[in-house]
Amino acid sequence: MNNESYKNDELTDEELTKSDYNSGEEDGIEEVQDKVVLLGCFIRDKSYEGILTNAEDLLDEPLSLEVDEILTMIDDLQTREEFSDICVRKGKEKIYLFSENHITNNYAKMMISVEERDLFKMIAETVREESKIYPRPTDVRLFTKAPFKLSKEEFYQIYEQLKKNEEYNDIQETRASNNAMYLYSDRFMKKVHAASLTEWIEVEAEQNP
Amino acid sequence: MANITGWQGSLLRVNLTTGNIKTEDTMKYKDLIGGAGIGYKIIFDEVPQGTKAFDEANKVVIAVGPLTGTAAPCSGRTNITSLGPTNPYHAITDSHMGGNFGAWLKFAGYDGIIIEGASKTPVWLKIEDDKVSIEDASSLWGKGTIDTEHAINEIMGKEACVASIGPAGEKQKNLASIVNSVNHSAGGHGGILGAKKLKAIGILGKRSVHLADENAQEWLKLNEYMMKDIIGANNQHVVPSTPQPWAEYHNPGSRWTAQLGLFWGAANPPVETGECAAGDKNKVGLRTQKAVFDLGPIAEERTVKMGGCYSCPIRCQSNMYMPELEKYGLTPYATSTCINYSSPASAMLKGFADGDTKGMDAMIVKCLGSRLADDYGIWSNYGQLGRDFKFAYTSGKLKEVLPKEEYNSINFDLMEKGDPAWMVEYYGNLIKDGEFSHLLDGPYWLDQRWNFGKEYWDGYGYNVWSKMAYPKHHSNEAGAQVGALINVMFNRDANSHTHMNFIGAGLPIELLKEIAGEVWGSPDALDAPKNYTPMNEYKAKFAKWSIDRNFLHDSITLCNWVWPMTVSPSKSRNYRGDTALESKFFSLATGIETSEKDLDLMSERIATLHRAATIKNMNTIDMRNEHDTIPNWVFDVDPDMKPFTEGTVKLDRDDMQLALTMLYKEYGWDEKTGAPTRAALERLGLKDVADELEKLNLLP
Repeated sequence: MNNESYKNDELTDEELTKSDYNSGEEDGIEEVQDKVVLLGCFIRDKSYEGILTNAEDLLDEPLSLEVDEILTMIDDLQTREEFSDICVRKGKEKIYLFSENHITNNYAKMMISVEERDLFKMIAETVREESKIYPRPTDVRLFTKAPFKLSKEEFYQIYEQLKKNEEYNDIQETRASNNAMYLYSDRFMKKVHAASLTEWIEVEAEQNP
Repeated sequence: MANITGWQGSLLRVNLTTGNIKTEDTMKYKDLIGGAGIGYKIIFDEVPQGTKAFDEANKVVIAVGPLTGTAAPCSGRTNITSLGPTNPYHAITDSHMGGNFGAWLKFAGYDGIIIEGASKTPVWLKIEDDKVSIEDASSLWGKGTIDTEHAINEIMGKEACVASIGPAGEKQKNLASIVNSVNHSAGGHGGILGAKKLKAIGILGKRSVHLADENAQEWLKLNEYMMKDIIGANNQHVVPSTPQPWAEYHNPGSRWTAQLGLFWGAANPPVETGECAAGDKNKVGLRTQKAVFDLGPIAEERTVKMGGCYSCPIRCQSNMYMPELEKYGLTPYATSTCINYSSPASAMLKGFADGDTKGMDAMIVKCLGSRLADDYGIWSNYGQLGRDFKFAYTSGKLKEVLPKEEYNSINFDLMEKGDPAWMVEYYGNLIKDGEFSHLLDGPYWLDQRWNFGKEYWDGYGYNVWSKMAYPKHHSNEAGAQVGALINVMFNRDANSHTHMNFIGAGLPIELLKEIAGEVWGSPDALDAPKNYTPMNEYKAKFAKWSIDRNFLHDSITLCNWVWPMTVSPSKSRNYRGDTALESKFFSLATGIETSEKDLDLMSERIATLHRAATIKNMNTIDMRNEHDTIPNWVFDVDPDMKPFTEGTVKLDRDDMQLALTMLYKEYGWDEKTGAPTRAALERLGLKDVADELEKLNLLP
């Protein structure tokens, strides 16, 4: 794997910043008045701060769009090559927008599930994803961290309900020898494998630094 | 020497028997790069067969490579080569230390120091550029490494870098280290300096290390590229430990611990790591908040800063404010990383008084223990010391072998109660002259003396690897046969992190397998964790590549705890790294245009020379049966499970014999014995080595 890209004339950080956040400025004042450009930049700015843009946010300042122009403008935004980083995801009732320059699709998926308060799905989908792709069982303490931010009590309340729901009966529990609890999906991981990996993550890895 | 760049061109040879000091040309070793490569050749050529580690005829080679002192990222390691006292055959080994010593050595004008002979009285070596002298160390003998360093800094000035041994080295303990800059320790050769009565080396240099790339424009571009697009965190982990907006993936085991709300809490004012997104070169140094990783969340508020080695942007060494240590007569600070923190805790057989493995008592134990170990110059043998103590104590052997008076004098109650004061008792008794101190003999010699027996050798969890009696280090649990093959190739614990860094990078398995396919020829080179498949030739290629890169890094000199750059955190590169980076830096430093393939061949030469030196030390070519042995616990773990089933790291005996054959084949060695053939040695330009082995009847 040899890569010569370091020899190319790349953009400096300063240029990159300019390119990312002020792509309309170079075209002058007329472009600033282009609401689609403003919308794109607004989404990027919020994404830079790690925040999803909910289509309803566009009704408020600074954009103050009319209800009936929002969908048209989002469609228009998606046709603009210079805003190809802007992603649109439809939730149950809302539309979410973000720039993948700053928020990855994976993270946006987690954020949307939190936003929609579909907590069973949030936990189950996260566990399934981890069991499938890494593969690894999921440390339940993950759900106390961003973007989930559940309290320990909240998590266990939701988890107890989730266990009773047939839709999520692939979500199984395993514990390390120190009693730490992990979850896995038996669609993607056998019990013996999950148990063994849990012990590795929780106990053995620290003994093999 | 005007045209030599990268290297300084001189090796310092110090004979402690005669007091003779001279310099010689480094460039005769340039095909062996530096560091370990130079060390192996000198030990092979100059140390007679049959020499033991503490004999006057043994030599110590402290050497670095052409990248040391150039400011190449993560180039702060120093390599030390000598016979290994823990090894049953006293076969050749390396020890490695970070810190500043290697760069200072270059700045003084040297690529290495060859220490030979032995002084009759304690001495230290003073190096100030061309002024090199052997000084009286009688006033330093008996001091810890910290007081020794301070005393020499009083003489040479605080800018000098000092490496020294503590009481463990002076007493010629096998598990003794050489420590520079207070806490950067190289394990295993401290006792040899003790046998030579060499207490310390102080270095002060005012020279530069020149690059062939005179204006350094290409160098700066390469450096920028690496910092922006390629480098990750400690261990080249390329995803953060928690979900973060910029990151597609995360892994709770990642050492990329930086996140919003995480601080160096004892800094004034506190420093927030924040999110250190991939591509942000100015935050590379904040990515690894290692105190929290090593000591738990409680360490955040005690972290003064993350420190590290010369020219390393990955700050993996935590500097802690620990006023609790004053109770034990120490200053309120601790600085360490990784095994040096976890090893003391392994001697707390009954846990901690507060019942919390990540609590305050545990943190005090780790900080206090690491301070004492460094000051006494005790090497943990990758944590084996604690496991040996555990076996001796819990099996009742310790009570049996220690004289009653000595046993009763040790306050084991402190350990039973989980009191951190056990550290003072434990390390204090290790450096006394009693029977307890034989724990510092290392597994092979300890078993000879105390007769640990089968339960110890075959016990899963005691981790003793092969007849060579060193601890496993990222073995079968790390890449199945790949990790096991890497572990058989050394004469001490395998300090190869090439494979482990890749396996632990934090990326999804399919992505890692794709990359494995590109680097080693097939995705089958890599198995999913604890879901192994039988041996194949691509795993042999992966193992060989990992071993060779380890030898390369110990020679060039780069940190194998970060290098090589097999993967990157860059989504736009689809997480591909750049495995040619070493050769690019090497070419720009030395002016010798060297491709990745060229450098790989040089690495193979060093690996094969290490093998040849081992054969000479062991006086046998039957490496397969006498050296490359694999402990029973690798095959007998999980008795109810079969190898190659989900959920076990168990391997199969026949399959591992096939794995050895495949690895020998990759090196072009004799497939029956695992010894290099004349053809293999000559292909690598090692005809003189082949001639010497033939003279000793050690060619297959």
